[in-house]
Amino acid sequence: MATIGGSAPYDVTQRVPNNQTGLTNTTTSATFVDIDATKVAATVVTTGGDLEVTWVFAAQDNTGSGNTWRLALALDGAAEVSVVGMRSAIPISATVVTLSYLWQGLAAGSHTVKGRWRIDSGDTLAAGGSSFMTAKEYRR
Amino acid sequence: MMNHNLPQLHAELTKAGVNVPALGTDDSGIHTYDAAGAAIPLPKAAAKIVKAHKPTPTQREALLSIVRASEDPAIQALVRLLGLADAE
Repeated sequence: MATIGGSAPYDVTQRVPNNQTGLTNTTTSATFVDIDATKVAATVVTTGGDLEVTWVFAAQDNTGSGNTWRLALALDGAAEVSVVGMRSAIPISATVVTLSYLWQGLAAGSHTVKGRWRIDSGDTLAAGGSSFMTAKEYRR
Repeated sequence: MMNHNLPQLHAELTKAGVNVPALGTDDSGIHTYDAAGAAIPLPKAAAKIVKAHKPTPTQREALLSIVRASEDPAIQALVRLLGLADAE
Protein backbone atom coordinates (compact mmCIF):
# COMPACT_ATOMS: atom_id res chain seq x y z
CA MET A 1 0.00 0.00 0.00
CA ALA A 2 1.32 3.43 -0.90
CA THR A 3 0.36 6.87 0.36
CA ILE A 4 0.20 9.52 -2.34
CA GLY A 5 0.35 13.24 -1.60
CA GLY A 6 -0.08 12.67 2.09
CA SER A 7 -3.77 11.94 1.66
CA ALA A 8 -5.66 8.70 2.08
CA PRO A 9 -3.68 5.65 1.02
CA TYR A 10 -3.99 4.12 -2.41
CA ASP A 11 -3.49 0.53 -3.42
CA VAL A 12 -1.80 -0.50 -6.64
CA THR A 13 -4.56 -2.77 -7.82
CA GLN A 14 -2.87 -3.92 -10.99
CA ARG A 15 0.15 -3.28 -13.16
CA VAL A 16 0.67 -4.05 -16.84
CA PRO A 17 4.21 -4.02 -18.19
CA ASN A 18 5.09 -4.05 -21.90
CA ASN A 19 8.84 -4.28 -22.31
CA GLN A 20 10.29 -4.46 -25.79
CA THR A 21 13.79 -4.58 -27.22
CA GLY A 22 14.97 -4.70 -30.79
CA LEU A 23 12.41 -2.21 -32.06
CA THR A 24 13.23 -0.91 -35.54
CA ASN A 25 10.13 1.22 -36.19
CA THR A 26 10.52 4.50 -38.05
CA THR A 27 8.28 7.37 -39.13
CA THR A 28 8.31 10.52 -41.24
CA SER A 29 5.09 11.88 -39.75
CA ALA A 30 4.95 15.57 -38.84
CA THR A 31 1.83 14.93 -36.74
CA PHE A 32 1.52 12.52 -33.82
CA VAL A 33 1.08 8.89 -34.86
CA ASP A 34 1.31 5.53 -33.10
CA ILE A 35 4.80 4.11 -32.80
CA ASP A 36 3.50 0.55 -32.65
CA ALA A 37 -0.08 -0.23 -31.68
CA THR A 38 0.86 -3.35 -29.72
CA LYS A 39 4.55 -3.14 -28.82
CA VAL A 40 4.49 0.46 -27.58
CA ALA A 41 1.18 0.40 -25.74
CA ALA A 42 -0.45 -0.91 -22.58
CA THR A 43 -4.07 -1.95 -22.15
CA VAL A 44 -5.59 -2.06 -18.68
CA VAL A 45 -9.12 -3.09 -17.76
CA THR A 46 -9.63 -0.70 -14.88
CA THR A 47 -12.11 -0.86 -12.04
CA GLY A 48 -12.56 2.89 -11.82
CA GLY A 49 -9.29 4.05 -10.30
CA ASP A 50 -6.46 6.26 -11.42
CA LEU A 51 -4.05 5.12 -14.11
CA GLU A 52 -0.37 5.97 -14.10
CA VAL A 53 1.94 5.16 -16.98
CA THR A 54 5.71 5.34 -16.98
CA TRP A 55 7.45 4.93 -20.31
CA VAL A 56 11.14 4.78 -21.18
CA PHE A 57 11.90 4.97 -24.89
CA ALA A 58 14.96 5.49 -27.06
CA ALA A 59 14.76 7.31 -30.39
CA GLN A 60 17.03 8.98 -32.90
CA ASP A 61 16.84 11.40 -35.76
CA ASN A 62 17.57 8.87 -38.46
CA THR A 63 18.10 11.25 -41.33
CA GLY A 64 20.51 13.42 -39.42
CA SER A 65 19.22 16.90 -40.12
CA GLY A 66 19.01 17.73 -36.43
CA ASN A 67 15.33 18.63 -36.61
CA THR A 68 12.98 18.57 -33.63
CA TRP A 69 11.14 15.38 -32.72
CA ARG A 70 8.56 14.75 -30.06
CA LEU A 71 7.26 11.89 -27.94
CA ALA A 72 3.98 11.75 -26.04
CA LEU A 73 1.45 9.47 -24.37
CA ALA A 74 -2.18 9.20 -25.49
CA LEU A 75 -5.06 7.50 -23.69
CA ASP A 76 -7.85 5.95 -25.75
CA GLY A 77 -7.09 8.13 -28.77
CA ALA A 78 -7.46 11.41 -26.88
CA ALA A 79 -5.09 14.33 -27.27
CA GLU A 80 -1.45 13.66 -26.45
CA VAL A 81 -0.16 14.42 -22.96
CA SER A 82 3.27 14.51 -21.37
CA VAL A 83 4.66 15.83 -24.64
CA VAL A 84 8.41 16.27 -24.77
CA GLY A 85 10.42 17.76 -27.61
CA MET A 86 13.98 16.85 -28.47
CA ARG A 87 16.54 18.10 -30.92
CA SER A 88 19.32 15.58 -31.25
CA ALA A 89 22.63 17.22 -30.47
CA ILE A 90 24.34 14.30 -32.18
CA PRO A 91 22.01 13.15 -34.95
CA ILE A 92 23.71 9.75 -35.23
CA SER A 93 23.00 8.50 -31.75
CA ALA A 94 19.84 7.61 -29.85
CA THR A 95 18.41 9.65 -27.00
CA VAL A 96 16.62 7.96 -24.11
CA VAL A 97 13.50 9.75 -22.88
CA THR A 98 11.31 8.95 -19.86
CA LEU A 99 7.68 10.07 -19.77
CA SER A 100 5.09 9.65 -17.05
CA TYR A 101 1.46 10.69 -16.65
CA LEU A 102 -1.37 10.13 -14.17
CA TRP A 103 -4.95 9.96 -15.42
CA GLN A 104 -7.37 10.41 -12.54
CA GLY A 105 -10.92 9.21 -12.10
CA LEU A 106 -11.16 7.03 -15.16
CA ALA A 107 -14.37 5.15 -15.80
CA ALA A 108 -14.20 1.42 -15.22
CA GLY A 109 -13.44 -0.50 -18.40
CA SER A 110 -10.71 -1.13 -20.93
CA HIS A 111 -8.24 1.70 -21.48
CA THR A 112 -5.26 1.72 -23.82
CA VAL A 113 -2.28 4.01 -23.55
CA LYS A 114 -0.01 4.34 -26.57
CA GLY A 115 3.35 5.92 -27.11
CA ARG A 116 3.23 8.34 -30.02
CA TRP A 117 5.82 10.30 -31.98
CA ARG A 118 6.37 12.92 -34.65
CA ILE A 119 9.27 14.69 -36.34
CA ASP A 120 9.68 17.83 -38.40
CA SER A 121 8.72 17.44 -42.04
CA GLY A 122 11.26 15.85 -44.37
CA ASP A 123 13.03 13.87 -41.69
CA THR A 124 12.90 10.33 -40.32
CA LEU A 125 12.59 9.37 -36.66
CA ALA A 126 13.67 5.89 -35.64
CA ALA A 127 13.25 3.77 -32.55
CA GLY A 128 16.51 3.25 -30.72
CA GLY A 129 15.70 -0.36 -29.89
CA SER A 130 13.99 -0.33 -26.50
CA SER A 131 10.59 0.58 -25.08
CA PHE A 132 9.71 -0.07 -21.45
CA MET A 133 6.15 0.89 -20.57
CA THR A 134 4.35 0.10 -17.33
CA ALA A 135 0.75 1.00 -16.54
CA LYS A 136 -0.48 0.90 -12.94
CA GLU A 137 -3.98 1.32 -11.61
CA TYR A 138 -4.39 2.92 -8.19
CA ARG A 139 -7.52 2.78 -6.02
CA ARG A 140 -8.30 3.98 -2.56
CA MET B 1 14.04 -5.45 -43.48
CA MET B 2 14.90 -3.63 -46.67
CA ASN B 3 16.69 -0.35 -46.39
CA HIS B 4 14.61 2.66 -47.35
CA ASN B 5 15.07 6.40 -47.47
CA LEU B 6 11.56 7.30 -46.35
CA PRO B 7 11.59 11.05 -47.13
CA GLN B 8 12.86 10.19 -50.62
CA LEU B 9 10.26 7.46 -51.04
CA HIS B 10 7.51 9.79 -49.85
CA ALA B 11 8.53 12.32 -52.52
CA GLU B 12 8.54 9.55 -55.15
CA LEU B 13 5.05 8.45 -54.15
CA THR B 14 3.74 12.01 -54.25
CA LYS B 15 5.31 12.56 -57.67
CA ALA B 16 3.56 9.41 -58.91
CA GLY B 17 0.21 10.69 -57.62
CA VAL B 18 0.07 8.40 -54.59
CA ASN B 19 -0.75 10.85 -51.82
CA VAL B 20 -0.23 9.64 -48.28
CA PRO B 21 0.26 11.80 -45.19
CA ALA B 22 3.50 10.16 -44.04
CA LEU B 23 5.36 6.87 -44.05
CA GLY B 24 6.45 4.52 -41.31
CA THR B 25 8.09 1.15 -40.97
CA ASP B 26 7.81 -1.78 -38.60
CA ASP B 27 8.68 -5.45 -38.68
CA SER B 28 6.13 -6.05 -41.44
CA GLY B 29 7.38 -3.36 -43.81
CA ILE B 30 6.27 0.11 -44.88
CA HIS B 31 2.93 1.63 -43.91
CA THR B 32 1.13 4.95 -43.86
CA TYR B 33 -1.35 6.35 -41.33
CA ASP B 34 -5.08 7.02 -41.04
CA ALA B 35 -6.52 10.30 -39.76
CA ALA B 36 -6.17 9.11 -36.15
CA GLY B 37 -2.48 8.28 -36.57
CA ALA B 38 -2.87 4.51 -36.67
CA ALA B 39 -0.73 2.51 -39.07
CA ILE B 40 -2.55 1.32 -42.21
CA PRO B 41 -1.29 -0.40 -45.37
CA LEU B 42 -0.09 1.66 -48.29
CA PRO B 43 -2.49 1.95 -51.23
CA LYS B 44 -2.03 -0.76 -53.85
CA ALA B 45 -0.82 1.85 -56.31
CA ALA B 46 2.25 2.36 -54.12
CA ALA B 47 3.63 -1.14 -54.64
CA LYS B 48 5.28 -0.38 -57.98
CA ILE B 49 6.94 2.78 -56.66
CA VAL B 50 8.18 1.03 -53.51
CA LYS B 51 9.62 -1.79 -55.57
CA ALA B 52 11.48 0.65 -57.84
CA HIS B 53 12.75 2.71 -54.90
CA LYS B 54 16.53 3.07 -54.89
CA PRO B 55 17.44 4.76 -51.60
CA THR B 56 20.16 7.37 -51.55
CA PRO B 57 22.16 7.52 -48.31
CA THR B 58 20.65 9.80 -45.71
CA GLN B 59 22.81 12.43 -44.08
CA ARG B 60 23.07 10.15 -41.07
CA GLU B 61 24.24 7.20 -43.17
CA ALA B 62 26.75 9.41 -44.98
CA LEU B 63 28.13 10.73 -41.69
CA LEU B 64 28.47 7.22 -40.30
CA SER B 65 30.38 6.08 -43.40
CA ILE B 66 32.80 8.99 -43.07
CA VAL B 67 33.57 8.51 -39.38
CA ARG B 68 33.83 4.72 -39.66
CA ALA B 69 36.29 5.04 -42.55
CA SER B 70 38.49 7.51 -40.71
CA GLU B 71 42.04 6.35 -39.92
CA ASP B 72 42.43 9.02 -37.25
CA PRO B 73 42.84 7.14 -33.93
CA ALA B 74 40.94 9.86 -32.09
CA ILE B 75 37.98 9.53 -34.45
CA GLN B 76 38.12 5.73 -34.18
CA ALA B 77 38.11 6.01 -30.40
CA LEU B 78 35.11 8.33 -30.55
CA VAL B 79 33.27 5.93 -32.86
CA ARG B 80 33.84 3.07 -30.41
CA LEU B 81 32.93 5.27 -27.47
CA LEU B 82 29.59 6.16 -29.05
CA GLY B 83 28.88 2.56 -30.02
CA LEU B 84 28.84 3.35 -33.72
CA ALA B 85 31.59 1.01 -34.86
CA ASP B 86 29.34 -1.81 -36.00
CA ALA B 87 27.26 -1.77 -39.16
CA GLU B 88 23.57 -1.40 -38.42
